[in-house]
Amino acid sequence: MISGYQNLYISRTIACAMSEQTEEYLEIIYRLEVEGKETTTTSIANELKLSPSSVTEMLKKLSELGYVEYIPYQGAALTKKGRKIGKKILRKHMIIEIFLVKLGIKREKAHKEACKLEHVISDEVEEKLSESMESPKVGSSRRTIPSPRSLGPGITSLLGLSRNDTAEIISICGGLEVKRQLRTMGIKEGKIIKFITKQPGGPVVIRIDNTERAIGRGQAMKIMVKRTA
Amino acid sequence: MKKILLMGNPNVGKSVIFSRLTGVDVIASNYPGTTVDFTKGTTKIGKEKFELIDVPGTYSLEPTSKAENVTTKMFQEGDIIIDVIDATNLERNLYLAHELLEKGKPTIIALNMRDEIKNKGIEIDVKKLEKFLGVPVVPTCAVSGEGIKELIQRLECIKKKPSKHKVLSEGKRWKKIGEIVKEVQVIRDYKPSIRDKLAEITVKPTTGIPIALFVIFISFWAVRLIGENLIGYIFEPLFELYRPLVMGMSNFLEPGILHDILIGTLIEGNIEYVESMGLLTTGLFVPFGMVLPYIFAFYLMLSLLEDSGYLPRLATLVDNVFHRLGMHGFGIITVFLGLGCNVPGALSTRTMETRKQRFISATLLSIAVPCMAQIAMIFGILGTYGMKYIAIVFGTLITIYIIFGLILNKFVKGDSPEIFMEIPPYRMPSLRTTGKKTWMRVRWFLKEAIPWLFLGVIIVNILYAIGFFDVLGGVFAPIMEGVFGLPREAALALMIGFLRKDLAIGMLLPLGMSGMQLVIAVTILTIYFPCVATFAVLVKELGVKDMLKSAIIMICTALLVGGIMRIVLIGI
Repeated sequence: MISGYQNLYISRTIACAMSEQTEEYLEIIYRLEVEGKETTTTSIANELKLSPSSVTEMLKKLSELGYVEYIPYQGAALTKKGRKIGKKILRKHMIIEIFLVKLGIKREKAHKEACKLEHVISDEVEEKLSESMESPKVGSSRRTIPSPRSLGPGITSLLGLSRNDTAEIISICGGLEVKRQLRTMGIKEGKIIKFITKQPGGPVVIRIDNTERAIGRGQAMKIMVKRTA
Repeated sequence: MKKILLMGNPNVGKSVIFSRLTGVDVIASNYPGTTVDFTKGTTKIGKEKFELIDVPGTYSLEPTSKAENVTTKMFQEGDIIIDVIDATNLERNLYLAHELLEKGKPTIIALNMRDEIKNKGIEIDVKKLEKFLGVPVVPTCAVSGEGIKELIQRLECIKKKPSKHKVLSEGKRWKKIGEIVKEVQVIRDYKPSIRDKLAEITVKPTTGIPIALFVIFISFWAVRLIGENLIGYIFEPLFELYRPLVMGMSNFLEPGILHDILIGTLIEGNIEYVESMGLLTTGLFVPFGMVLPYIFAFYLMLSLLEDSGYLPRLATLVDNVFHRLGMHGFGIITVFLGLGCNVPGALSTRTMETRKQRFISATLLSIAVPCMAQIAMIFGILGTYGMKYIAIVFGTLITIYIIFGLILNKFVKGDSPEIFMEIPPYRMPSLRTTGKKTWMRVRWFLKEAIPWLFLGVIIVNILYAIGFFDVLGGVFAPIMEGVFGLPREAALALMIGFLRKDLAIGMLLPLGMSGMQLVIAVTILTIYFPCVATFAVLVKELGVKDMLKSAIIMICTALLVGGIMRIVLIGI
């Protein structure tokens, strides 16, 4: 028989493990977004070295918890709530990694350690660590560290935009054919777009040049943009 | 005859220019994909006659879909190209223009929608653009007809080949276009107009959905109001004036086959316009006295919805729902067109990308979307029983549309891609174009419907005379009486429904059914099979095999739904 204590212990570990996994997913999706890469089930699975089917399961869970918007057969996009966590974890990871590298630990090892530590250190520790290294802006792999206050570099997919946002298209994920086709429709890199609305479970509506366009979620997820002031 | 092709991006106004040049009226609307077929006409330029072809819109000459493939093939056959460019979207439109110029055919460019660029603070230096492109550029405003004369004049002098543009890679093409746009276009800041604000609030879900419900309600309310009043104050009085004439004729003709065909049966010594079944009575009264007023009212409202640019916004709002039914938002446009007549509805399914989407939208259209001729008759006949009965019919049809959409989405193989639609700006529909379009469609209805109606009336009389209907009634009695709880004679109406459903509904009237029986009968009549005109289009659009599948689904649905309705509404 499992005693009360054991029971509590078990459920605590499960809760802990759950949240660690959650954080890992959000971090990966955030990183993919920031890098202007697509956040399809396959690309997330590749990053995590998991099977697409288990990623699908997890994405469904995350969408129930309100961290991501899951689009069947396509992938997922972070919600505001999910982005906040993803950004924080990525930041912690990068700070810890720099710190460990400074201590003389090899980059690869530092990365692995950071993967574990990022889930356990508190915000306070992270802040102090960062301060002790004079608040670095760039990580050990030369990636920009998301700043704690701003919304990061402001890169997201069309799905991540909200009311009154204007943004610049920075990249379109997908095959050459799709990209070419989108460009002929006026959706191409460097264009400034205005976000108009997002239908619940439906398409995103943007204005590009003088045309409004309704773009399905799966496609919207693959158009990466950078918010402009 | 040499061929002139009208080409350009979707929704840039090609069809309007086509009408202007040929004098042939074509349906043009304010949303992309109105032209699904090649429309041909002739036009005289100078002394020579040309064939002018309105090509469906495309973004690029490199084909990406089947429809676009046809477009590129068509291009090979063209002798002169008129490339219509939307001036409000110069950069995007110049891509296709550049591709066209690379092919080296004699080309002229119509810089269209000049009226709208002023509102948007855009200025384009036409002379400079002409110099860059090396072909004539004519500013036009197709809606008002401005610039069309100049277009024709300059067409006369471009018969020689222009210098061929160098074929560039995609990246270089865009770079060149970027440079051109920078040189010829100035964009001043402009304040968002009321139109832009209206565009936003009608597409945002929080405000857009209530507005959509309101617009749909008002539209149908207006159709009913206009239709009913036209009938009550104009068409019925006209037929009363006409009554002595046919009565006179009835007296003049001896009872016999000619009397039956022309006048039909007298009921208690008088003509009953719906029931008599003569060419000059029912054959005229159904199309003119009952259906035409509603057709007119409906197409008036539809034209307003189309030309204002509202429909694509509605499509965006309902996209989520329609995606679950295996289509995407454009599905609502096929429903709206189908409510007028299933034929254009079925044709418009072409705009959807995959076989799955087309199959589902066409099948649902023929199962659950009654055409306006049918709706008018349903109003006419069930209206006297009360709104409740009409509501049951439409409630059932909407439920069927949704449930069968969900089911078909699960079982029909294939993709249903997401919506990717250009939403046109709002435009004020002009009285002239709305009126003209409504008239074109009403005329089309009369041309298509009357021959079938007359044929239907004649067939009914012949079959009655030879006693075929008694046999038919006997054969179908188990289904009609056993399953649907209807009199066996209702089978006749179902048979005639294949020709004209409005006439078939009229045939239900003399059977003396209860309100609920009528409800069941008209619902089955909608579901069981499309009318012959729609059937022909569906065979063409879906192919024989898919149409067969679709037909099996329809008949099974009719049996199932009819049976259920009987149990619920009448009891066993």
